[in-house]
Amino acid sequence: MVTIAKPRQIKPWPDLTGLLPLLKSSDISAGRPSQRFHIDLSFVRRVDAIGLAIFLARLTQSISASSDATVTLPRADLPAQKLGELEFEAILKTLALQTEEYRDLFTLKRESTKFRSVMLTHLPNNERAALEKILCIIPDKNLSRTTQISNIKTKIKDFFRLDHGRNFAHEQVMSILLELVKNTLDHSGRPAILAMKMNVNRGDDARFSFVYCDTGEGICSSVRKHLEPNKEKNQKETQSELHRQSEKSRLAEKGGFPDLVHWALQPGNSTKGGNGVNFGLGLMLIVEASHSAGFRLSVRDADTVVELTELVQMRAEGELSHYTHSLIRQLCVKTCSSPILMFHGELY
Amino acid sequence: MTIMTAHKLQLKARDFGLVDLDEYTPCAKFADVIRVQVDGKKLNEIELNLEFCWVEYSFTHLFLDEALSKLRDSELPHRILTVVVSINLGDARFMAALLFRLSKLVNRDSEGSPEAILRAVNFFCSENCIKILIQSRIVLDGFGDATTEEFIIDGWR
Repeated sequence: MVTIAKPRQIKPWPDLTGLLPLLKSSDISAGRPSQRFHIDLSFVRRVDAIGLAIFLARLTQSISASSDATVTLPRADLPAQKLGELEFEAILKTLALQTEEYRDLFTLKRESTKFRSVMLTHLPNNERAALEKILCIIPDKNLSRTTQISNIKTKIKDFFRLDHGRNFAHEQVMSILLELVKNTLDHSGRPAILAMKMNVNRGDDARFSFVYCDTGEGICSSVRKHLEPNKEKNQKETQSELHRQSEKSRLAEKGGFPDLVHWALQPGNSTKGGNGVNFGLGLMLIVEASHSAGFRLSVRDADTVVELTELVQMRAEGELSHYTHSLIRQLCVKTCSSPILMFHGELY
Repeated sequence: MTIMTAHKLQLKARDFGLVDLDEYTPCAKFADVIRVQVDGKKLNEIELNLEFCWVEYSFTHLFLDEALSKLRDSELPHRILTVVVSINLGDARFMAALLFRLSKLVNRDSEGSPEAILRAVNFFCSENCIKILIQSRIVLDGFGDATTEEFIIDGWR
């Protein structure tokens, strides 16, 4: 007799907006790997690009061992329509089919035909739909780094061109987003999801906001691994080299989030310093450029969130000469949801 | 629009329809514009306005090398290259890397780190008595007033 296990249920936070989906815990259970998933969106009430991107990033973390997923769409029309506008179905397919690792990840089975009918009967208002966009960055070994960057750049440009009133500094924001994309390609190697949201008639809302979720191991974990002591001891090592190595070992073993972020913000420090492309200035450049663009930029990694632009702001106010360890520690806030590397930028 | 005075040339990339300065063809075209506009050796100031253009290091060297070589060959002293961009990376090292990373004229040893690129640009400027002004003008809202920050690589000293 063949028994088919029930698919693992994945339910999002009913409000798939803003940072709320971060509250949801991970669907991964190390002891219970599952090949089948049911993504149940029945009770989703509200959707925006930022919230959906976080949910999708969490999903990407959860389904790495999966081969089959079924999607149930929201019962309510509005969120279902919004998912259509944000090209949810296409994104799922992109996440599933772009790389060998994720091939055949999803076999989309609709429990109803609602998705299709919603898409046909409620044609998206182009202008409204265009103000929010989700892009997937899937590292592909078959494409050159330049081609991959160029492809994503074209999509970002297309989105920015819809902002006729230039509500934010497009070129500057592009440089920030591209740096994040480069980090994914050079360091992470895992899919990342970028969501952008423009509010033209904004009222009190941010005129531009984005979230960039990288599903790789994150800054802290990769820095820690990088700093782990080299097992092969070199007899010719000088005293200062030995001292430096012991400092690194101590950091790798005992360093917390502030210590590791402090390390990552120092010029020349990189987990891939010798690849000839990325020279360890990525994070610093992202922070400086965000500050110049007027952004509030925060990063969430491991279990902590820190507002990075506040570091530059305090330096500008003469409170420090550089990114000091104590200030980073002061700005860090611990969270309780499961780990994800996420950059969040807001421009008011 | 091109403004040319006795010793100065001002070029605005956008006026030539050259916005995608992160791609080869527009950068090569802009280099051609500079080549055609600069005639002779009686020019000591070139201003390249790249405002509202997508600027990335991949091909910027095509037109920047052209402008710098024209200044290098000039018979006049006090040569200045002004580059106006809509990007502010907050640090001269990053700005130098953004513009000159792949420059064959300035970054001859193909240095990769921003510090090394800035050093190479400084060396070139000192060697040829050229000052480079990088003006970062960021318009934070609409087409209103810009916040400007200037990064100077001074080869006159």
